[in-house]
Amino acid sequence: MIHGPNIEIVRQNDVNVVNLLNEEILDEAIIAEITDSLFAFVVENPAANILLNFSKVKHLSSSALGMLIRLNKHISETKGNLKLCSIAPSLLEIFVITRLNNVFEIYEQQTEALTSF
Amino acid sequence: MATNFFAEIQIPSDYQQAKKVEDDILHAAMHFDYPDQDIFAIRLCLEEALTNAIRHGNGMDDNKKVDIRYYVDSKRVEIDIIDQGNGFKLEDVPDPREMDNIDQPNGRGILLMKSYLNVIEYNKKGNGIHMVKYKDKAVE
Amino acid sequence: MSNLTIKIEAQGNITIMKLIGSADMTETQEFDASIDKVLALGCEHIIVDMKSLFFACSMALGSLVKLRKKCYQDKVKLGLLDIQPSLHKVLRTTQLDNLFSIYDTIEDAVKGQEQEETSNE
Repeated sequence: MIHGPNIEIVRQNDVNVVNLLNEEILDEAIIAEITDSLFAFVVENPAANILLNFSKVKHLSSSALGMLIRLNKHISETKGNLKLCSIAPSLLEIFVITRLNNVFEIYEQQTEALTSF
Repeated sequence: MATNFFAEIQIPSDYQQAKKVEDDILHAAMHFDYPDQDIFAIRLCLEEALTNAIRHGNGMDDNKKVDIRYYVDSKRVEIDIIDQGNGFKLEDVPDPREMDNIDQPNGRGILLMKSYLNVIEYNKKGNGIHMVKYKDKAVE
Repeated sequence: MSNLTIKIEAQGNITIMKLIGSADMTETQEFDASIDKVLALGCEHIIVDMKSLFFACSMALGSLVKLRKKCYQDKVKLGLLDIQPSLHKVLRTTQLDNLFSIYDTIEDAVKGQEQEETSNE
């Protein structure tokens, strides 16, 4: 298990579950830290299955979503998979407006997401 | 990290291809952390302008193209869309809020764009639109 | 890939049409087809549940206006339910909020439409 101030990565069989620990992902510095940790993880673990769990997140800025798009591109290039789960209904709105709900596979529950890889 | 995004693209009169450009512009705005209501406004105006260009301007004709140019930075999103139709005159478009028109299924796109954009201008011929949305700035 | 999911559910003489996702330029045909399907059911009330609809362009508004016209002709009651604030603003901007009966809860929608019925008599 990897544990940082903003993320925690727990290995569940062949899936790396990334728990986002902040209630608010708005601050540029926090987004940059999360981005760095995730990109570093992907570089060390190419072709990894990654599940981002949003259950703790209540507020998300659009640049955080920009970070997700870049991360997704990077992960697909390394032949890995990125999926998302447990996104609060209030956060889902911006995913729908920006059509990111079609870019990402999004699951309501972690359990169903885990079996989808 | 990029300090701005700029692109010039030509697409056929096809909604799916229009959507791709729309997504690129939205993702650029997200990169600069535009608030959710700005993202909503930009998508709405893009949908309206692109639908007008493809449907009314080019009449869904696959041989006719739509030219799109956009610039996005941390302060503003600027978009030009030009179709290959004959153009139209703004004063020929009836106000959809009038009692006589409120029942009509069409004609709300221009009103929405006017209400959600900081700047909206048409070229002389009426086949090109220039749109500006400033970040986090209300429309008067 | 589809951006709009439409669920149609009949509860007695009420048909609930639930819109999920975004109703944009590529979804108009599907939206219109679903409206025709709902009207063909021949119910007395139609409630359009908009709780999970996060985006709608003017073509989708046009579809709703067409639905309203047909409901009026066929004497079917129509209500819009639980509209997201961003879409409420779109309806206000186009002044369509005056044209539709808008409700916060399904109970209000059913009750409101019954009242409408008695006041019309």
